[in-house]
Amino acid sequence: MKLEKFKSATLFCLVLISIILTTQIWLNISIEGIFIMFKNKEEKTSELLVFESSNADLIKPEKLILNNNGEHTLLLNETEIGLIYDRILEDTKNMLSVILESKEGIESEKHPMDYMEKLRAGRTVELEFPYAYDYKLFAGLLGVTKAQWEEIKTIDTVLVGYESNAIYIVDKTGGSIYEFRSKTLKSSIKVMVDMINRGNIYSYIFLNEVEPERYSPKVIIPINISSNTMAKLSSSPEMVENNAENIAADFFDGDISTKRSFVDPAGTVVYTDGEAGIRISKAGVIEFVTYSAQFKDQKDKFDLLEAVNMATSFVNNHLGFPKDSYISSIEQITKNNRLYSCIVRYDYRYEGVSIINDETDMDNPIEVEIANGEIKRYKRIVKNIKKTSEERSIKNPLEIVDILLERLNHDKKIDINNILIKDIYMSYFEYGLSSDTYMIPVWVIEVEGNLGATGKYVLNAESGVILSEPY
Amino acid sequence: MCNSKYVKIILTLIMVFVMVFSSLTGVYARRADDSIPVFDFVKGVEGEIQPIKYNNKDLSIKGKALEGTNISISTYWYKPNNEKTIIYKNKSRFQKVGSGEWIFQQSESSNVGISGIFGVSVAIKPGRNKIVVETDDGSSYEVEVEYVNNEELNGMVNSVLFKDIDLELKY
Repeated sequence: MKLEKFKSATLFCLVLISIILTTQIWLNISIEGIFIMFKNKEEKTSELLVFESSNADLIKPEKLILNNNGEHTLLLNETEIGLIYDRILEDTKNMLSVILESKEGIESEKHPMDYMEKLRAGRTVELEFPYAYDYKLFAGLLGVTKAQWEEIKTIDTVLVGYESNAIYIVDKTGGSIYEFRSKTLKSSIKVMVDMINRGNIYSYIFLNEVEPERYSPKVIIPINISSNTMAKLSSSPEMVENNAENIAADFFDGDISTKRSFVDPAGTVVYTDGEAGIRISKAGVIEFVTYSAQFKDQKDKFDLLEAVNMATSFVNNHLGFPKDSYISSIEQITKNNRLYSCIVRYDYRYEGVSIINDETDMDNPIEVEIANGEIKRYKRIVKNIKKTSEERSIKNPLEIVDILLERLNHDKKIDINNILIKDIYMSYFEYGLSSDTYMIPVWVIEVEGNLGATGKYVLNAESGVILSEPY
Repeated sequence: MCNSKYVKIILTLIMVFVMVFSSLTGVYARRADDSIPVFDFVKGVEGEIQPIKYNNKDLSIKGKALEGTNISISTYWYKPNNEKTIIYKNKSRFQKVGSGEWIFQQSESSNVGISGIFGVSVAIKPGRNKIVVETDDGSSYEVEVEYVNNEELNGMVNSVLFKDIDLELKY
């Protein structure tokens, strides 16, 4: 009798599991708390959230694109879909770690660069990184100690075929696309993509599919977004909440009583002890400099991975990373064929949208310079961002392109056939130099070519007025 | 004892149904490989535009035309005379139009600027759709798109399978 009851209970459990799995996988009903984690609905968007991040957390794409049978969608890391976005990233990184670590059981194939068209026409998730990662550095940041596929030079883009779980690494420096397949590669990306497709998503088009001569392959724009609006933002320096004295103390082992300090006419506070100094401006720029780092003898062992580890750890220990931070670029300087110094730049986004500033001094939010194996300089301008009640409508980006081309063609007399548009993206543009500023949605168009008009054009997303252009 | 037997039989049957229907939906969530052509009114489209199988509810129409051209994009849906749903639909796709009719759905227009590019997203309905892209000077392209709506299929299976099931089973 007991055995019968046990059998019935087991059968009941099996039926229940099969129903739950079926509803989740095939019938699009997710039951929160069983396999889907509860969302923290009370998250305050107005607070500046500062996190400790690992290097792997800081590898994030500049653009995450869902390619679905010729339809494309740009996925922004917004609060609403943050968990799905993170899961896609996490699964992709896990799959990459498996591939980079071992050649065993992994089938690989090399394709020419034009294979990208086929990948975009299929069902893939595309992660375009903000800069071309050195292969060994990328593997090291993921925690892979011995990277196996040494023929890969740089990792510019990674694609995951979410039907097949195949991984594609785009190496623009080597001019090849590497395809990897293995039975061990597993992910939940397909389920995540299905969840995204169930919502209201915007259709995007790659402009190089229409006109490859004028647009680079990374130019992707939304169509039919005229009904969309974005909030105007207000911002204040992070040190409003952490006053200058506390910030300075953080850099001098908690004690600034013995340091010299002064305030310059612009209101910038400076603390120094002769070996290092920190200046904190009213607008929120924090800059820490070690005077001695550059004069020491060159170290023997000092590689890029070590430098990035050092930079990330320094930021973690000094004010931390704002939400949605990522490595945006790494610049290297070598001396006698050895790495001498490098600048690691980090950027952050608000609701998946990057923030730009017309002042070049304020354009890179977090920058760490390592020289000779030591921290030489750390600059930071992180804002506490809040939504205002003011909503701004967004002009169709094709109209924005027309406005710019007309400006270049009619006013600057440049033949539009000589213009190459490198990138188009949405951003928040910060204006005002005081401590409290505003950020408005803008379209940014990056132009290339030998035409005296190369650079970044910033256009008001609502009116199309050009707010900033290269000199 | 007898009740217990019946419970087991019912549970087993439910499990079998769940498996069968989930496999069915899996079959219909098929891959579609065709992509939408670029409608080029300047240089023309290479080759003949073939019918397309599709599984997205939105379709991006993009193309090139001279500055100042007005582009209008109209969508039509094919209404078959029989009332069967697409689950039971005959599998031979893109057969000649029989006794059904094309019903106009919507039209959108766009004016081409100096960039010479137009792009519009249109919604399509499950089944056969026809998209007509035409310029104000009378040139036009037409493409037929068959859209298999996995969501609708899933919803349908869901309602058939679970409408009478109370998940809060009590003994």
